[in-house]
Amino acid sequence: MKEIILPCLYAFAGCAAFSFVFQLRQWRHILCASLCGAVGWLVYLLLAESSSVLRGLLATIVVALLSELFARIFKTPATVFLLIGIIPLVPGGGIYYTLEALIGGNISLFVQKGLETVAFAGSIAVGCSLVASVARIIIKQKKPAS
Amino acid sequence: MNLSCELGRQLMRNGAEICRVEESVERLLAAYGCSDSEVFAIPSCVIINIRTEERNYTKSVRIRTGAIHLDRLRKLNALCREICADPPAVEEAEKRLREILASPVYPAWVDYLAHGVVAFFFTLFWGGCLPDAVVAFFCGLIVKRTVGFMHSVQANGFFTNLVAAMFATVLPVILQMIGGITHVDKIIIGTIMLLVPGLAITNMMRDMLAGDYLTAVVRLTEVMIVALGITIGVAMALMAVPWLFAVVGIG
Repeated sequence: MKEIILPCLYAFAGCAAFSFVFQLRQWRHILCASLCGAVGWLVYLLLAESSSVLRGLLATIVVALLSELFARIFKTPATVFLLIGIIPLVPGGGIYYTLEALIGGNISLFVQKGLETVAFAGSIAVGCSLVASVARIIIKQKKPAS
Repeated sequence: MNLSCELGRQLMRNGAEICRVEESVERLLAAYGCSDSEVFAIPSCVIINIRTEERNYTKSVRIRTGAIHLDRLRKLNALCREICADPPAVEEAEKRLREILASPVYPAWVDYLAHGVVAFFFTLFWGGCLPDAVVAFFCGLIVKRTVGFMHSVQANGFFTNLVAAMFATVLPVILQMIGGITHVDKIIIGTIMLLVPGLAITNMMRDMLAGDYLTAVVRLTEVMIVALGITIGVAMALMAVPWLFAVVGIG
């Protein structure tokens, strides 16, 4: 249990600090944006038995859904929450280990890590895209009615 | 028209997507009665054209990137909605726009602290222990200082990230050589999270979906260049520090 709760707390705190870097000023926005990050990582950790690409995809979808939701509630651009929410999912570790393998001259490991990282980044991209497209369609549908 | 141009520029600069910028500007113009208008936006430029019966009026603004200010983005968006719902006099709207642009940024120490804290928690997040996180905190401060300096001498994005990543990596590697800490990788990962261009990635996806492929390609290039800069910077530090140690050790 501790292995799941602690990283999520770290993700929450890290995202909160990032909100300050991006000059987000209102507490409720900071809290919600950080919550996106923590929940995203929670989803990622809970799906431990799936492949990393699938985990990344599902976690991103959850983050993106949450940020669209918060965006509707607060009437702000979803980017505000999405940007901060997906930061824990960004494969910083993947980039670094890829580089380390390259410097160490371990080409097969370099290729393996590199492809893993690219695939993971791709899954984040697809996740964001899916939710954004669906949200767009729903909004477009609603507009003529209202 | 000047008002809408400035709004478009500021939206873009503070991290809005292309379609948001184009739509906002178009609606704003419509709210003031210019229904026959064309807006074209890419990350570095917004071009607005208004057609009246006889003439075409065109204005373009060049956009230079600056620090992202999400709160400003939020306020600009809100202002745009309000104006469209109930257009006030142009002077009034301009005044409100200026007010938003004059809205305060966090003082420098908060910014520094935030950078440090980000590095601190992301080091823990990636599996570092507490001493690692403390080192990372200082690496975060180094990143902030370096990026600030590089901006002040107007270095390009690639070089800025390269130098920042390099300086941030030097400290943990030196400490490892001396023998203080164990998880150099975790510290470096935690710190480079600060430099990873999250906004560009996120907006790239949204732009691509909205059909703005030109913008998506521009942003993708930006992401690649920045990532390359970070990678080379880290690599240089990882290789140079042990080498320096070897030289000093022999000397």
